Amino acid sequence: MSSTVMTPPQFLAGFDEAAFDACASGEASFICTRREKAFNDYGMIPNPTSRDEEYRRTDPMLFRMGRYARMPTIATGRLQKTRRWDEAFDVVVSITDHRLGLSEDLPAGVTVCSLNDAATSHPELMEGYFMGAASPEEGRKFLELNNAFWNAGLFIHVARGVVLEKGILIHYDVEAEHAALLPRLLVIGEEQSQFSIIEDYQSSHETPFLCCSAREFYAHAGAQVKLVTLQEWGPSVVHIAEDWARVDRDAMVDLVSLSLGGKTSKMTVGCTVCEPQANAYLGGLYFANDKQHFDQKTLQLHAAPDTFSKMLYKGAAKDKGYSVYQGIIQATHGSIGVDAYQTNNNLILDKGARADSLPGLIINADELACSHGATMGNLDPEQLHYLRTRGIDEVEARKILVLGFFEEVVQRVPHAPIQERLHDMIERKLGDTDE
Amino acid sequence: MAKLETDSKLVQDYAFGFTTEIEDDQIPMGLNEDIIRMISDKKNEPDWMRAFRLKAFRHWLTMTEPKWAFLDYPEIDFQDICYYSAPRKPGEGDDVDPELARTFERLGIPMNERDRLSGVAVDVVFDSVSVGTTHQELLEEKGIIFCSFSEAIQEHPDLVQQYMGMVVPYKDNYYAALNAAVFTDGSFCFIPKGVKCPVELSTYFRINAENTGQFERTLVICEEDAYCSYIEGCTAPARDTNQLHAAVVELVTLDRAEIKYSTVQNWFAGDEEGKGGIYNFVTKRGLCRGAHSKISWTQVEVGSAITWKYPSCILEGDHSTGEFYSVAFTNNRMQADTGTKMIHVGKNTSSTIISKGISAGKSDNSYRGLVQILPSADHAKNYSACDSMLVGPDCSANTFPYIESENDTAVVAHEATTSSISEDQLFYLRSRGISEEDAASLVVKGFCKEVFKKLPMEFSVEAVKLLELKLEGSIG
Amino acid sequence: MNKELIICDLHVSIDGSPILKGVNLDIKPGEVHALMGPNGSGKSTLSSVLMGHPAYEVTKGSITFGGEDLLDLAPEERARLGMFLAFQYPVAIPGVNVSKFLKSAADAIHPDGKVNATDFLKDLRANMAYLEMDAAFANRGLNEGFSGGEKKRMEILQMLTLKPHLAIMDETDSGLDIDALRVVSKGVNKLMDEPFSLLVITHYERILEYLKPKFLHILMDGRVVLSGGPELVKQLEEKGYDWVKEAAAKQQSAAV
Repeated sequence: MSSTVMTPPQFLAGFDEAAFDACASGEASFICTRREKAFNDYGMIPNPTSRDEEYRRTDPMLFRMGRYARMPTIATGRLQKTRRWDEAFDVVVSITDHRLGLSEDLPAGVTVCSLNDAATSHPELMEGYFMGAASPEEGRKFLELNNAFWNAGLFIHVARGVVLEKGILIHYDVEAEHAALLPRLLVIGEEQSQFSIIEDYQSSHETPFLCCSAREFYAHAGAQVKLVTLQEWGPSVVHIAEDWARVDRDAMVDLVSLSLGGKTSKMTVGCTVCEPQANAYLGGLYFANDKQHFDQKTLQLHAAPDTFSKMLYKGAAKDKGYSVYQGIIQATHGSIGVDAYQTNNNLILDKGARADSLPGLIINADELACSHGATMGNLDPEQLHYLRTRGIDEVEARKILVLGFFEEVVQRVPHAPIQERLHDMIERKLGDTDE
Repeated sequence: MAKLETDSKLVQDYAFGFTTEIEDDQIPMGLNEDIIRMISDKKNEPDWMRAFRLKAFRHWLTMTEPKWAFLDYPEIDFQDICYYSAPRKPGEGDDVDPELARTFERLGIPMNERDRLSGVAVDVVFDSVSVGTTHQELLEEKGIIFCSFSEAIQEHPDLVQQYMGMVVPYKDNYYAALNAAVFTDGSFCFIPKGVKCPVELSTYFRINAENTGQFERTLVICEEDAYCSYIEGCTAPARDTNQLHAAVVELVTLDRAEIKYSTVQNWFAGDEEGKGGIYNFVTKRGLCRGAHSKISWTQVEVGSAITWKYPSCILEGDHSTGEFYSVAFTNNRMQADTGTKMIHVGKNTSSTIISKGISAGKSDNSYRGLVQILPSADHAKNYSACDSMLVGPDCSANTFPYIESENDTAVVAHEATTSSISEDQLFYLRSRGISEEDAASLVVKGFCKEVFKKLPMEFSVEAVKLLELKLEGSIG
Repeated sequence: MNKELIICDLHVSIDGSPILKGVNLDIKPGEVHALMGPNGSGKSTLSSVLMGHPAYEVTKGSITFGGEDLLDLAPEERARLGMFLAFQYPVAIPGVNVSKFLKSAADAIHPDGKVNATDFLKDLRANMAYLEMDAAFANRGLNEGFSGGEKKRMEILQMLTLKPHLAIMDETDSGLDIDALRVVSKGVNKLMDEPFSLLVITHYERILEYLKPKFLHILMDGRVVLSGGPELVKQLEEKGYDWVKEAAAKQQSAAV
């Protein structure tokens, strides 16, 4: 006989009851209730340790949670389009330490506002989706941390049949030292809507801070939603992200994660294709140089017959960089006709660099085809030689090959200027030498 | 009068499920230091061996059962197992108890010297002890030592002390520690410098006694330029309780030596409802210690209720090679979590992994494998291909590769597929007049062919027959 | 500029086993040479070594081009001297755009380190049209998903773009249908207007009808055993390599 033992609440350093009491004030009761529930759940989940399978390669000690203090919930304001390529988007959102700025004149059928505003103006949508069905199995410490403490909440809703040509840009720029930014994004694409969102994380200087982000995406029947995350934080940033998407009948979700900045990053992307003909694409690009540590996990969950998913993650490790890719394709009992694959390719460019790859298949259904492939190695010497016989020197040839290696993922990014920026970032990383 | 019969409905499709009624010499159930001393006394062991067992046991007490595998089974009560069971010694002058000889004849294992034509030297382990080794003279001429582990402890203590635990230390894992504490017998092979073993060496394991665990230990050593091919086969009677098997196999190759290790594992798998069957928790590992040496594992896993097994290679010598070829078939309620580890330490080391999993019924079949390239392993190469086939809607097939590379000159490529048995292929064959069951059998055999052809010839034929037998009733 | 290729007593090994065992060959500017020989005679090894493939080890002998010692030079330095190899099996490099790649190569070869982008694109389009290639190829991944014939045309396109002084064509004609062969030959002949020398490695006389080499060499077991004029082609076609062995023996004894 075993008796039920109450596990004591376990808080990560800096995110305890005192911190929570300080954060919840003046919000809609709906939001407060959710925060409290999340805070309770979060306290009940044991703190992750390097003994847990999920943290074996990325010790939670690397996050050094105690160094960071949660920034107050960010207030909403208006925003003028000012940045160089703001004009290239239908909607621009800017999030800084103090302000969540929104561009004026939203296109018809598009709602973009703070989560707090949404709780007042669209309570029915918040009820139905916020912390809803897209979220994964319980027990994810950092997701609950965000659920309880988020301080930059954004709500995006695109109405039925609305097509955004240029898409939405969300730009983050953080300056506060030792702050904890907890961005929270809820995206709902109604039936037949089409749009893309680019999240651009930037912090230009050495400021150390923590970003613990959580995002939920819902794509209803026939919707086509593309989400690109360009993580280019400064070199002292710890980045944790939990992305969860749910894709209905005939809908297509495209989740592209580009990890280049920060010091340590732990990212989880989960996508459930839950009705027939639902389709998901998960793209990833990561390049760990210097002493960067990138850990990414993908889940392709097939919960219905005739669902499709493709995953392509491409990474490079240079200097003392360390990258981890871990992924699962899961087909639940009865989901026949699934077609899914995972590809993870890694370049190890230097002695001292390391890459781990753990693709996985958990298949419990019939009449399907699932596969994965993973490779590791340096640049192909034959390709290098070929380029050199055309007069291109070794350094340039290596650059061309590395850019070529990543190109398939880069091509998934809408907006040519962003593709160019990616090329520049990759080149810069190649040029940096570790002394 | 002893009798041989298949007296249980459990064993309809398990031809090896009969029991042998033979007098046993058993010790009491349970596990403690006294039991370990008792085992050691029974075997009249030297002090160093007894000390090794006790050290391992004390360490085991500090460990917990691993839970990471994709397996689901009730907790094992380690006190409810008998750790030593031996058939009582036959009278003076007899080679082998005639009842035992009949048992092994029925299993197709030649126990008598007159059966030498098979070109296979056999050591037979019945429950906890070795009951006879054939071909001794021929092997002795070449300087090859092939005997039971107990005999090796008595006759070749230096070699045993030098190599035992070198590849699988007693601290390695939960089951390896348990084995080190309680192992009762097994085989010992030593191929000296420059000798190519002229016959296949083989150990045949059979668990007979009820509530008995089998904990054998095998050690194969090939010195410089030596070669041997080793075959392991296993069966057990069909019983409706679970029996534990926790073996340790260690292989060591020195410069330019090669060991080819083949297994056909056909322990009783339990009945359709998952009642009974062997829990098979095995640690098998080879150390390519010398340059240009090679270790090749081939396994055909068609039995056991639970299989937890990862025959591995540590590629320490420069230019050494590791191979793993596996067919794992599960049906009914069987659960298998099996694969390999290839640890690349030396320069220019290479490894190949070919794994074929077939799941039918309500079984779970998982491949789990690690490819690790250490910083020292310049120009290491690995290729892995893991294919799973699902037969029916209620089984699961899982693939969990772990790839770690810390060297920029290494090349690793892994690919895996999971698919259902092809309707198109079945239809094509059936349109040519082949029955559905035969068609499925052909497709499955084709799927596994790459692995079967790695087995020694006669053994390969046996393995194919065994798979056919297992497939009957799994399809359609 | 006198870009003469002189190969002198060249010995080459791969993984310790000798492939070329003393090759001598001299190609003067403007000359077209053909090199034939049975499988395994070392033809492809010679082309690889000329371009500096790292897998081959030169154990003895020398190669100079325009007086420069090639053996000390990296592949790209050889290319910049004006050498070009049309590969027998060009590698595919997915993700590397054809026109961008060609621009990088043209920049690298150009003495100023840069070509005019507009002129480059104009030339590229013209060359592609000349080689009867679909303009869409310019935006595909380099050799990615190309058929055998398309890859060979791509090699010739590169040759036209980079305008080498000496081109080595390693079995460019293998596996080409007559139409593709005509296009490839047309491309090569276009370069003949300039001072340009060519080494054609082939199994078949078909391509030689288009390219009309003045010199023909036969390589067997790592040595040039027989050299001659265009008449050799006919003799080889009629009598085969066994005849070459006899003829070579005769030539040798005559020389003694």
